[in-house]
Amino acid sequence: MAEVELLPIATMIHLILGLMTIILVFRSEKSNDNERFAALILGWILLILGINYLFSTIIDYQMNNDLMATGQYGSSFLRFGAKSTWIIFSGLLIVLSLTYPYPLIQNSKIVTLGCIVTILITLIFIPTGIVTNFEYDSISSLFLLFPFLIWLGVYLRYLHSEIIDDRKEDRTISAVAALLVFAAFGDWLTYWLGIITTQDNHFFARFAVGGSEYSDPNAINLVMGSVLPACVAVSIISIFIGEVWRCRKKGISGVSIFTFSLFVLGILWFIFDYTQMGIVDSCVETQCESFNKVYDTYFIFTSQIIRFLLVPLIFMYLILNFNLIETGGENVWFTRVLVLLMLLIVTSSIIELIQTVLPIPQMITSALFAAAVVVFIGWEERITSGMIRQSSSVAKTLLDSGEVVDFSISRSEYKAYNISVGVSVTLALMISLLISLMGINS
Amino acid sequence: MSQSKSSEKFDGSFNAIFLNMTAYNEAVKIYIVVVISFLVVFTYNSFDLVYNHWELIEDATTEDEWYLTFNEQSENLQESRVLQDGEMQTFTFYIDDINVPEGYLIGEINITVDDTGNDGIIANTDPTNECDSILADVREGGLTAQWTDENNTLSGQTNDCEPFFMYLRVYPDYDGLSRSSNSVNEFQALLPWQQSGWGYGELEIDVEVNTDDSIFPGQSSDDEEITITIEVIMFEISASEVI
Repeated sequence: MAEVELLPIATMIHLILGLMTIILVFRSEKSNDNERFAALILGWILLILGINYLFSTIIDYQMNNDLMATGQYGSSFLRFGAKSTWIIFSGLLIVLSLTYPYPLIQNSKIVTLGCIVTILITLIFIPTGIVTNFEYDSISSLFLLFPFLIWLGVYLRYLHSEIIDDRKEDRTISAVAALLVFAAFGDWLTYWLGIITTQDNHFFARFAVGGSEYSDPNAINLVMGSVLPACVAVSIISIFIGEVWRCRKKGISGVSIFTFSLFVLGILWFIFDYTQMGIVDSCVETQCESFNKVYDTYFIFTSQIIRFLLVPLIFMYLILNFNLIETGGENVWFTRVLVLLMLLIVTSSIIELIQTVLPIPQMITSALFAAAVVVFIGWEERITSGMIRQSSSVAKTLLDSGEVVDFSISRSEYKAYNISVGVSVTLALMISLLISLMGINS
Repeated sequence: MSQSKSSEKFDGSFNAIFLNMTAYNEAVKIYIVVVISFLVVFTYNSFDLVYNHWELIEDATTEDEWYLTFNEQSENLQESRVLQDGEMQTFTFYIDDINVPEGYLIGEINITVDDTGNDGIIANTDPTNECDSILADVREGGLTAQWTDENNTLSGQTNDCEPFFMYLRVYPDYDGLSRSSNSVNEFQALLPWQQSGWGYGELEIDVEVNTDDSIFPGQSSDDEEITITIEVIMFEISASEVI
């Protein structure tokens, strides 16, 4: 299954990019402090997603090779670890939305708040989740209400200021807000029409029945689980309408094209899903049947690529292109390594994906990869400068227009945040390990 | 378009941030519409999940007791041959030739080996007549069936001029008796009894005859007519929920 092949690549991408971003944050003394803090959160988000995908990779490997029985999985450290890291990821999105692109708390207390939020979420939601066998894990999707409400608000506010007052520089802020929404909701965005028409509820019913081996479904979890889809559907429709309006007034942009693509993908996925409704309902009505193989391929080439490859690319684009970290000076070589590594990993995974669908001999795909390597090395400087062309900084735009105050965050505060997230992750994994060893849910 | 942008110096307070974020009335109005849209989408999706899906999910994840009954039909195949003393022959029955009604599956096969055709009556009424010895073995393989089932009787013999019986279970666990099953739905309750592929192929039975000479002249024979009757039991399963 190609998902299984993409997961290890996604793990590697997220872990490497996350680690390098965190290192770069501490080497970016001249960056705006708020943006540097946002980059630190983004680095941790990448790292935690990497750990989450690492757990999923091991789970897939063990399941596919019959190394773990269904009963063992239910109370395994891997399952608890994957669920716990997802909760921390959702918590980090809350802090990020309060920080970037428009800081809603404009003093260094945001760091303290970030530390408290992360540790509280870890201490409250992870043990509760494990003890209740994650039967109410959809409640963590309530965390996503923060990024949804804040980023959409920021997007609409700066879209209006750009169009009504012709403030071209405000596009940076609305574009960043839209991209953050896309990165936070990832592959869910392709299901917006299915959500609006309630067609996707058949899938949720299927997942509830399919997952009943591990935790009993309940109505509260089912209802809470529809918070995220509702956020996703409303987000994509709002941004789509906003971008159509902007296109009419200001012309098309990269973010507009990306939005329209996701919008169209949502329509296509509604049709694809409709063709599979019999199979989707089979789980509830009779016995779970597998999806059509071509349908699975569509899923891999859209949703899975968005989730595993496009989301880290969006995060890196935001970090590099919007000046969240210093990419010049002594960091140039580091940034180049980061960009090239990212491009090579993504290229190799796309080539591998194509190979799973088209019967291309390995010699040809190896040659294609070698050609890509040559291009990347030859045009390394151009590609890197293209990626980090320092188009504009959100903080600079906001400071210039007098819409934020310049506040500083000390190095010790960055370190404190780093320690608090690090401790949270360690605590989450330790709690997961210790409770799994006790076999409480087995 | 109206704009209510504050002209005061921005001080980073919550009030200043709120004023800045709500500077454009149109944006605020659209934002309110967005939030209301979210509430509407969330509400009707939740309603749909609870009223149209939850009961089905509960049914699909809660096991109920189902009473399973088998409706049986049978079809017989028969073949007779005359075997010489000491001769062994293989009787072959092509089970694929049986017309299995729609919805039915083959459950078991009862085999009767009978040698009473030519001397059985005499033997039973006349104590001076000796009965021939008949041995029969069902050859394993050839037919898809439960060859290792402990209820099978795959060989038999007689020397008392009475027919003898053998048994082969074809469908796993099939014994024709009604039973109860715990399953989440009717489909899954019936699922174990809907496997196709059992009862295909040919059933081969090796039969050997050893005739015994009668102590009275004129009553002994060197051959024996053997009749094998195959009763193929077919079943159709039905389930009813135990309330």
